[in-house]
Amino acid sequence: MHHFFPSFLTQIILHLLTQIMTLKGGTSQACAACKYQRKRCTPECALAPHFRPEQTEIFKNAHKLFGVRNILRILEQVDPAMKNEAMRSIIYQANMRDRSPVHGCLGVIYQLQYQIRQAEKELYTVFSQLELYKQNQRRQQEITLSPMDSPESQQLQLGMGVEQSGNPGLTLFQNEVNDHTPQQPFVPVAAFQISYSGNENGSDVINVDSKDSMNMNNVMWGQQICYNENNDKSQMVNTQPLTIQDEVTHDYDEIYPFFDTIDDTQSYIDSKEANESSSDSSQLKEATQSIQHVAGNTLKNAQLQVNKCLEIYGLVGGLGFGYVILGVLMEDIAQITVACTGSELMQALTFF
Amino acid sequence: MASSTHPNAPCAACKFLRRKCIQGCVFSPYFPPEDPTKFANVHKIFGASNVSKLLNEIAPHQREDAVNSLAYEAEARLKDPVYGCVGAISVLQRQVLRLQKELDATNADLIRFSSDQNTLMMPQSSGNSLQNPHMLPPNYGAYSWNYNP
Repeated sequence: MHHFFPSFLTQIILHLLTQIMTLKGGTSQACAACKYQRKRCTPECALAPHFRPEQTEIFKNAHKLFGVRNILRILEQVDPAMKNEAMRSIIYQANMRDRSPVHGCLGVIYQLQYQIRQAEKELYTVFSQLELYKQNQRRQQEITLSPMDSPESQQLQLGMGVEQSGNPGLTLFQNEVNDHTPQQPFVPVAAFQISYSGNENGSDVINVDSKDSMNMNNVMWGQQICYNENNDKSQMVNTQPLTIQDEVTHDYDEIYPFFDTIDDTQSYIDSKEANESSSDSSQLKEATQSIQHVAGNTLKNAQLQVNKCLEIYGLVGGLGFGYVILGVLMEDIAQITVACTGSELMQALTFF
Repeated sequence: MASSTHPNAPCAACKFLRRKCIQGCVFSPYFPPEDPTKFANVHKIFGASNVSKLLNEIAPHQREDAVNSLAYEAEARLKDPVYGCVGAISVLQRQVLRLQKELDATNADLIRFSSDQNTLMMPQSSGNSLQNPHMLPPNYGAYSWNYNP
């Protein structure tokens, strides 16, 4: 049979079939780079492995940004094993430049940095809230375990929540707990509310600050919370500067180190000259009445006032006043409220 | 942006390319002669003609940003020929993913803690039941101003 089909015809047919297969997208079709450049794509074409024939747009972007010569130069510089990775990054860079002709990859970097900042901001806020919840949980567990100690520790915790900002005159902890209802002993709910509202205030402070200072505040906030965790009679959450809070004593009887940090001597010196002519008894009486309404830093205020009395009236006046203060405090310690503003205290202080 | 020392001083691009810096040179506002490295890097990676074409397609008020981004990308590519500035992008993307995972986990913890706290508060608030009318049995509704039957 094959005698009627000469071999030369077979070869011609085979050659034609090969040509047809090549034209219809066979393995030797020109790569996108050679197609773009309208040149013959040889087997040695360096770009053929990276630009399939259908990837004309991708090559167009790469060519627009880098140019063929520069792409080949980059490929020559890298290890053969890393050529694919290098080509991927070149293609990515070119595509980003096509998407954003002004910023290119730098725009992507800016966006990612912004996302990171936002995520970090959110993470700090959530962490601080979580720490507060944990702190409250621990405190509630302590209260349920040791109920006998809770009234004094509760009151002292409320009383110790003072913001020591170093300004002349004390400003008390006057956050959202401004309900003037007397604090009941054994009230974990009240304690929780105070700390929770303090937390809200703190988180508001964090949110309104600028980005950089917010980060600093968040760091300080976190440090304050850690400090509070370690302190059994720790203060409620507040916005005190960290340095002042470090000096807060653990035992309310040891008040001298804390008083050393209070810088309100000027207010006392100023008011001293104005009130030197007043009688002792009326001042003591007024001071007593005002102190009954002082929340927060009652004991520290008392110490301050005793010290100032010692300066102004001498030893006898100071000791007498100190005795009065002690008596007042011992009677009224269970009824001292948190809600005393700084202005009220200043009023009380100016009596001296 | 233009050269401050001499009005006709060639810009860094024209100096590098050794050609006359004409009045309307597209490179001169963005490649001052005081910083020759900037143009050298950009030319090495992208080529002067490509940069010139790119700048001509961009509005004049955005060209400085474009040049700065090209300079950054060129420098990154010179430092890391394999990945260039894409390396920084991949690091940042991993960081974003990590932060997102951490945020999801912490939010889940927060939800868990807040629900635990609410559970703890519920039996203790029975003393203040007037504040929470839903805790009251229906026959005491008349005594609570918050209760709407």
